[in-house]
Amino acid sequence: MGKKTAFRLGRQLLRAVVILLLVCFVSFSLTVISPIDPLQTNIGQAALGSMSPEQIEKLEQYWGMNTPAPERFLEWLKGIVKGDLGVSLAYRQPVTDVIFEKLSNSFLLLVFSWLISAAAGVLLGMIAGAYRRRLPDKIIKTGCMVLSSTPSFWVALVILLVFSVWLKWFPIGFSIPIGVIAEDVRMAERIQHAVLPAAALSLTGVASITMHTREKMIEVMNSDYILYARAKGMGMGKILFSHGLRNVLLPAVTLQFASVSELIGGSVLVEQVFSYPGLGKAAVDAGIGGDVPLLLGITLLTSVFVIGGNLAAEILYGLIDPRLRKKEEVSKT
Amino acid sequence: MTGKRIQAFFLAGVLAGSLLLTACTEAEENNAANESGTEKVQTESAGESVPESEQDTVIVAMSPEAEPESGFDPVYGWGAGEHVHEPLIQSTLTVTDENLEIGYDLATEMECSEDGLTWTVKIRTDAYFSDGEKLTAQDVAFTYNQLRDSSSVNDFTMLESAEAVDESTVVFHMNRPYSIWPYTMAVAGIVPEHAYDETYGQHPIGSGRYLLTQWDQGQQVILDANPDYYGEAPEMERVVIVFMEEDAALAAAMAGQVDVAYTAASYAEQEVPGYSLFSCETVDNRGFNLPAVERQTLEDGTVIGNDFTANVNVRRAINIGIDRQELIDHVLNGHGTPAYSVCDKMPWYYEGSQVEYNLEEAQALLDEAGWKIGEDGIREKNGVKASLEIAYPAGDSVRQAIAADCANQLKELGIDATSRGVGWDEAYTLALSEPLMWGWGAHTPMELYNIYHTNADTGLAEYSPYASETVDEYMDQALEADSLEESYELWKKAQWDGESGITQEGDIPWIWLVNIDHLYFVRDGLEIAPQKLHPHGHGWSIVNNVDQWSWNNQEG
Amino acid sequence: MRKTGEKERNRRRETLVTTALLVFFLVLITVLGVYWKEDALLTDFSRKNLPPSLRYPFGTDFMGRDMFKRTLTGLSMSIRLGVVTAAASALLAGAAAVLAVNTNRAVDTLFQGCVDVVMGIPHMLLLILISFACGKGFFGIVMGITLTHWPSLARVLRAEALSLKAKPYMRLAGKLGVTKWALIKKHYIPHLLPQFFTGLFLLFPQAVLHEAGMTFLGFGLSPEEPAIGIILSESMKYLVMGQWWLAVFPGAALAATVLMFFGLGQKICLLIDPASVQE
Repeated sequence: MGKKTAFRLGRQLLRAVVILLLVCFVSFSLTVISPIDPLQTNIGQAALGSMSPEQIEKLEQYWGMNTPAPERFLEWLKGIVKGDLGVSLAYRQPVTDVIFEKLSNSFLLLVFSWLISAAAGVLLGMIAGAYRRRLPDKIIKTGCMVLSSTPSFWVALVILLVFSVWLKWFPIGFSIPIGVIAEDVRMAERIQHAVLPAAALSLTGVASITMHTREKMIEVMNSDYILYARAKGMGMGKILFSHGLRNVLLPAVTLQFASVSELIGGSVLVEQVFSYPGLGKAAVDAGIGGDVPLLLGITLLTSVFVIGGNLAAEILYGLIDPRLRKKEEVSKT
Repeated sequence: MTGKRIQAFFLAGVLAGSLLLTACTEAEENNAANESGTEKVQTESAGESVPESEQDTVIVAMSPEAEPESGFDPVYGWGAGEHVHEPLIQSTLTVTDENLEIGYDLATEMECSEDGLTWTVKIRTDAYFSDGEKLTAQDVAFTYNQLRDSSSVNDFTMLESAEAVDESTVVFHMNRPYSIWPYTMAVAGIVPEHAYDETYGQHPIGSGRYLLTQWDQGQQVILDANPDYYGEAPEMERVVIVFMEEDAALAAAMAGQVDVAYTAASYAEQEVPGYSLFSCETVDNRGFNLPAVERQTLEDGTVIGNDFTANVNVRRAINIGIDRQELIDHVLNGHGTPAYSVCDKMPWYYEGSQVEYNLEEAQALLDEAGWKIGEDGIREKNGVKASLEIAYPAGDSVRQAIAADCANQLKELGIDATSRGVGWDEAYTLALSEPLMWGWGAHTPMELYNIYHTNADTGLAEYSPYASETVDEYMDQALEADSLEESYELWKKAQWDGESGITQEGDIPWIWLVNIDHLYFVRDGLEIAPQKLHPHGHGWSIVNNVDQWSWNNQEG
Repeated sequence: MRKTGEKERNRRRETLVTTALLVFFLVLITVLGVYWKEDALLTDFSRKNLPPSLRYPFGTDFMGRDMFKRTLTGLSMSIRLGVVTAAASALLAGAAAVLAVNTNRAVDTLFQGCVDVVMGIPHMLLLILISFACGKGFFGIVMGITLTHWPSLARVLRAEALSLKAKPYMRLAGKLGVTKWALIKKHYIPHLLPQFFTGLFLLFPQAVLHEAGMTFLGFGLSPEEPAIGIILSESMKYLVMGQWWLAVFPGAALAATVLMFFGLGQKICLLIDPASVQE
């Protein structure tokens, strides 16, 4: 049994690694076929204006425009193994440094929103499931539908408008206060700057997990076990938290792991709105500015998160299945 | 039993997740650990946040585009890049004064040989880098050779080599005469040879007025006055530059978080209590090119030229058929001046470039050129409709609006004009056959050369097909001139010598429209020192002389 | 018994009416948008920055463009683009699934690999990459949305096709020498069709939202084009000055459109397969 699990785990891990390799290949190929000339997008117009042809040739060298693609790909792969993702063209720093800097800003944001959307989603989903077809359910369902029809960046915009522009409760952008030496920045200030982006980001993830949990909850509510408990006169609160929670939590966590991709996608848009200097904003700038090494680096790192999340979700699925079987047996007897 | 298991699973999941994450970031941590400048540590001890305006601190909000992404390294464009300004952290050999004439910073005298191929510059001996090392001619030579070898943004191909002949004398050997070399020297910050490497841009050491204390990439830069500066000590002890979009900068001013906030004409009418609008005149111009040759396809498949604008009368009609004041009122809300050349008000500007708006004459010129009004109100000639598509760089809303308004005005002339946003990757090629809305304006006459001088390979000017032997000759002579004064005259003649040139009477291959005022919201009580004409780029120019700014004490 | 039948019929009629209404509104937006395309591009500096009024329900912007017409034109483009990309994506999913099941193992593995890769890169980043690969234009967005939305539907369809393949009569048909193509035409396609349409309708809103997101970030169209993302990203500049309507109205209009698509999707699922819909 243990051996079997270990074997399965090993296979899943191997598969994740293979996927990651494929991701490397695909994303690299995509940048190779791009017709975009990094030179013209990166060096401003007036600067190119005061440049001689020799100079421009020298620049082409610097931007690696004269090396064949397969060679560059192998170089890049070799670098990855050594933890070297190349040098960002726009920042003129190692990509790993740039990414670390940006990630340290985004990390807080991502983790908070991940947790908040999970907690809120589970709670709302349980309430909706428990009060199926009654008022709370209707409100929550409509809310979820509206929310998932609304672009995340617009939600972010409206939040920015209300809380920063009108109420002035929160700063309009950035991850730290203006003009303060790094050592003097307090955690509270950091959090204050992350609250709105995190709220906007959580909101975008909450709908799917709520609906998912709601369904699971309906299932649970219909199980003999709960019917029996209710017949015995157990209160709703107790049912929800002693029986409901334990049954919906694992599926919810699984789903949350599987939706890392959405979370990161959302952060790309939300960071743009809040001019929050994180990974997502860096990815957009790299995409628009033609900074290929940075764009690839960010793709790679975020793909590790996503694939890791998917792997975690898969492992959790494996855990759910036997347990469900066992539970059915229990409820039958 | 089950509850515990769930908890265990949950924990395991979280652990697995965080393990994965830490595994990925560990490698990067090592890299970042030694960069104390960018590392963020929080301390509990700090009291209230720093008061917003201390007497010797100023906070300036600038555009995110002004942030030097490759760091504060002159070799990679700091100060001497697309947007020219004083490098603050480093010193330069020369400086430009308020009239854009040349003065001295590190240099004490300079001399150019008869043939224009050797420049000898003596430098002061009391300048030290902020790490205590003396700044010598060796450092100057190193900097220039470095610029020549690896500058990724600037042209230093005219320099053969720089050589330190003694402690305080540096000699520049040129490949070709270059009379305007002092203007190049005014933007090239001197770096220390002993402390220069690839990462210099992250923690620069210079001999300038300020030291880089902190740089939070994508957010802010903190500069502190250099206590060992050889010149007059800066009045502003600390300068904080924050990089924000226009809207965020306005919001920051409204919230009283910054002392100076750059802004655009569209925001200029906002009332910000405690602030007033500060406007700087500029040579930051906008204008579009008109391809001056007939449409043709080159061997490599590039299409150049435009049959409509190839006619000089068409170009002249467009030049006087656009009401520049209307552009300024519509798009810039009045915050601009009409532009008639790429270098208005510069020492090398030919005053006769100015023209008056005259719709009737423009109509007459077009009629004369054979483009007659057709039934639908659009001019046509031999069955071809007069049409123009003015391209503008996507993402620049001011150029977008100028292009749109120009198109609207050209419609009155009977030209079917439209506007379209393009990316820079497409723009250069497009400009060879269609007008593109450009922005220029630098503190060097070299720009005239770059725009109007022909390229040896193609026999046409680089950005918009045009060729004139006379204009070329004057500019070549200007570069070979013995003195700057003499060169100014020749640059002027290149624009108009009485018979030919690039003005309305001449070939007029470019239409210059407006110089855009650089606007700032400035906190009351802050005295900003007089500004020289700002060049293109709404960025660091404003703080060129931030060391001379001061706070009026009345407010406290 | 009769009563429930009547109830059922009533419900069906109700669904049909709602569906018709939703389709009508969506078509109306599409047509109006196309009709107003010229007006949406028109700049008139004499009427710039006007607040909402009867004449200009959404106000005008910094170049004096009518934002109501601009928004409708943008939505119209979003809808057309959403329909095209969702359809292309769904077809891709269907073809991939059927192929994966009916050819050899290698193809199936390739299929799985493609699905894994597309799902392994964060959606937004993959969109950015594809758009970058296509030179960032309008084409880049179309390709991006088409190439990134098929995997989840393809997975569902593949599972469905597999279960069909395992059916005894299908195996028998194979043994009897019925060609693969005939099997696909006669059995697979009809069998997968309901799932296919359900998936297709679920793809619309996603495609529209992603298009808005990409144009918001500045990939794709040039700024004078009336795309909903461009309108919203421009509006950000004017929030500080209190011109909130430039952001709120077009955004709400977009949300309403997507909501209509959602509703339409649900109703159509209900019509195709009443039992499948989870309330």
